[in-house]
Amino acid sequence: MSYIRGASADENEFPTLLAIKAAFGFIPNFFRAQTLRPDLIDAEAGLVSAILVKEGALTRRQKEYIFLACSADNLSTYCVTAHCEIVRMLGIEGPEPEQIALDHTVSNIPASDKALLDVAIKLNNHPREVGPADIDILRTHGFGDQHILEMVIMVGLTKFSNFVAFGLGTVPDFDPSKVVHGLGLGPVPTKFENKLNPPSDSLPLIKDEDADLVSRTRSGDLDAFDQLVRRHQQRIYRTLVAITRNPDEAEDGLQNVFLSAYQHLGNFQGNSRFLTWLTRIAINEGTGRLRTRRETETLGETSEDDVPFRPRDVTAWHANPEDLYSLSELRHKLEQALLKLPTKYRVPVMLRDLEQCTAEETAEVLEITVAALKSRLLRGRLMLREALAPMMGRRAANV
Amino acid sequence: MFSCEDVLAELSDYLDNELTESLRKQVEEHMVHCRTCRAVYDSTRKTLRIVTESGSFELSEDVSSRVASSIRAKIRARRANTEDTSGS
Repeated sequence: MSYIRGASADENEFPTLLAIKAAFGFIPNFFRAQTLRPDLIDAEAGLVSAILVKEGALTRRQKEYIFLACSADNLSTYCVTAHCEIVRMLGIEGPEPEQIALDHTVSNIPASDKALLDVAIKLNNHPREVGPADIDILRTHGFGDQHILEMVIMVGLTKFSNFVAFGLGTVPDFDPSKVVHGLGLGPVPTKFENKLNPPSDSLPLIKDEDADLVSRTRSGDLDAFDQLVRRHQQRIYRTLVAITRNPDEAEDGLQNVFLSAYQHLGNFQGNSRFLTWLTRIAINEGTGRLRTRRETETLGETSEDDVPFRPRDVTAWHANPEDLYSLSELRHKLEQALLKLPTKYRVPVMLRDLEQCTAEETAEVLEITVAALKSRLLRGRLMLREALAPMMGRRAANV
Repeated sequence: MFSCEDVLAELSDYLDNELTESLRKQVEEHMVHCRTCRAVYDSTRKTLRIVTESGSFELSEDVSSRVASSIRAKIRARRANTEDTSGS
């Protein structure tokens, strides 16, 4: 299954395909999609053999972990699914491979392997930010030049594989019943059943603490939905306040958001966290209310301000401005200042700094890039600081 | 050498601890000598602390329970309505 049709040529004519079939018990979609050019499959198999399979300074386990961690960050469902199975197939000892894909930092692997994966992921995600300091960290963990070289090449191989899988639209096809039985290694461990072959449009790598409640709600459990409401109504309320600037209206909109989510739960595919999806509904509810009010200032502006915001009041603040006012006074002043920020800056600040959403999630719900979010966040934070400055300066202490 | 504009452009990422080591060092080297940037950094940091700890726009327990009950009642009513319709 892929975007392009492979050649119908008999696989027995291609020794590499035969070898792949012998290894996995079937021909994975990744290679099946490339059968128009068996010579390229040969070249890729050679690359995989030299970089991943052949013994080097890094162990196969370390190399597979690099592949898993980077594939997960690239959201390559195909490659993660395939290599989780390959790790199991090889009998590599250690935590569940899914754990490495989800978050290696909390897995039970040696600190040196964590450091290796940290640098590999940095190279994968921010290649231009990798510098000598990163390499030095690896050296302090005992890695030599050959280890480092192999790590770098492994990250490159991972990117290559992920991009080929994305570009060809290969659907995950590594199924324990195929792989394990194909190799005659015995029955499928039950704990791995149903874990693989996810629908092609889902991203099983997203960890969602609401998954169980969502699933129970889908089965008709109203108590489960009640728990989702109680768990998330604070976030939804603040999102609505951020957009409408009206706490009463936000309270009113709160019900609509949850009723809409309940009604449309069938449309939630799990491509994002449930809370992200719910927050998007809240943003639609809020912007709909702005339209009803015929307010022109919305979140929809896409142009960013070219002229940087310059702080004007640069008086040093009181060492502990919280001492100047009671908590309720301080909250009131802050709420007034937040409500006066332009919508474009207020919503990012409230989601990121008040609700403590990550930058990535905030950007996702606002449907803007992380770079655009950061630009708005900087300006919003500086504007908020400016609004509070007259009340927080050292002079204010004597008022 | 970083200018005040450069520091201001990186301030948010610096506060979020998202700068690379080399950028972070340049920001800090500038702030050692620039009182204005130090004041802006310190006051922005305190602003974020106030935002995070203020509990602004907190939904009261009363409202929270009322809204949750109302949602539950409306879903039940819808369900009953659907069952009536499908049964008739």
